[in-house]
Amino acid sequence: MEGAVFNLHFVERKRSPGLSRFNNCRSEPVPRYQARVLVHLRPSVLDPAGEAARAAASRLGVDGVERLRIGKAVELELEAADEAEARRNLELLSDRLLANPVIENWTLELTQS
Amino acid sequence: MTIGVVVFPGSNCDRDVRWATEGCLGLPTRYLWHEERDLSGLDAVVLPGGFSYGDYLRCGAIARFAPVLESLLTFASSGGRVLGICNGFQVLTELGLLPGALTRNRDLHFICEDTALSVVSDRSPWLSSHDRGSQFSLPIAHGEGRYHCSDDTLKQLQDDDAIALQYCTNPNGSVSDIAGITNASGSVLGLMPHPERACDPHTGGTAGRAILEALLS
Repeated sequence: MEGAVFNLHFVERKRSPGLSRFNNCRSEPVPRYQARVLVHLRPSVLDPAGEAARAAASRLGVDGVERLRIGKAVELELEAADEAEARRNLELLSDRLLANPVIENWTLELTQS
Repeated sequence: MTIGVVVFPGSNCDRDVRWATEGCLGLPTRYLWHEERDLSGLDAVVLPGGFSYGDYLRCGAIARFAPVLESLLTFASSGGRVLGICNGFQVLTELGLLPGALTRNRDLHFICEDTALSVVSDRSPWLSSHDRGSQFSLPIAHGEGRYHCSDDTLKQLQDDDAIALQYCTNPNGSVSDIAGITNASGSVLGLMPHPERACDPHTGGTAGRAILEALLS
């Protein structure tokens, strides 16, 4: 549904567990990876929402918060032949879709599930 | 001579643009659905304001992948005139047709008011009927209109004489008071203010007419 609505150029591969052993002639499961992409504003970019939250922290009575920057965490699960392929795909996604390199940096955490 | 107005899911100024170009200025205009790829017969394309694809992820981030924009890249590279207004400006930066990015207003408010603008460059067709340094007012209506770019990009914009409009009083924290920029050749203009809301003398004056007339000049 989402693919049709948003015209994103990737196909969601949904495979029911009951069929995978027939679809995979070598009976080897395709490795699945879990990833978390953390997107944060570049240090040079003003983060007014972070500043507002920092001001609220002192109103809560928590002093000493010297820096508060708000970013995004994107959690993904994906299939890939190996970790290198998973990493390549995630780097492409992060660079071209999840973050805008003009104003944002990203970091990637990747684990095999 | 025809203008195409792109309609994304979530666009909400598409009809305003068409009313301004066709209703007020008499310029032939048709809508361009975001899944269309055929831009033949069009002489200019407008990306209107609104919240394309709900502005999910970032403003303009998902609109960038719309089929119509693949065709727009070819259209723009062959010199076709492209005007991005507000959300359309955000889409143009995400698409890479214009440098920089637009992000959350400095004071976090959604600002909806008339704002005075100063013409920085009269080089492009969009502002050639204005004098450099002259001022006029247009409405703005945005929460994420703070233009941001690197120092190198800002210098490039200055060297290319590509800063089209500056705010007289910076409402949102934009770098160098930037309200609108063009590409190096001047064929693509992106701006946060809404010229289409200043074309009908009954509602908002006519200060925006010159920019829209430039679509087909």
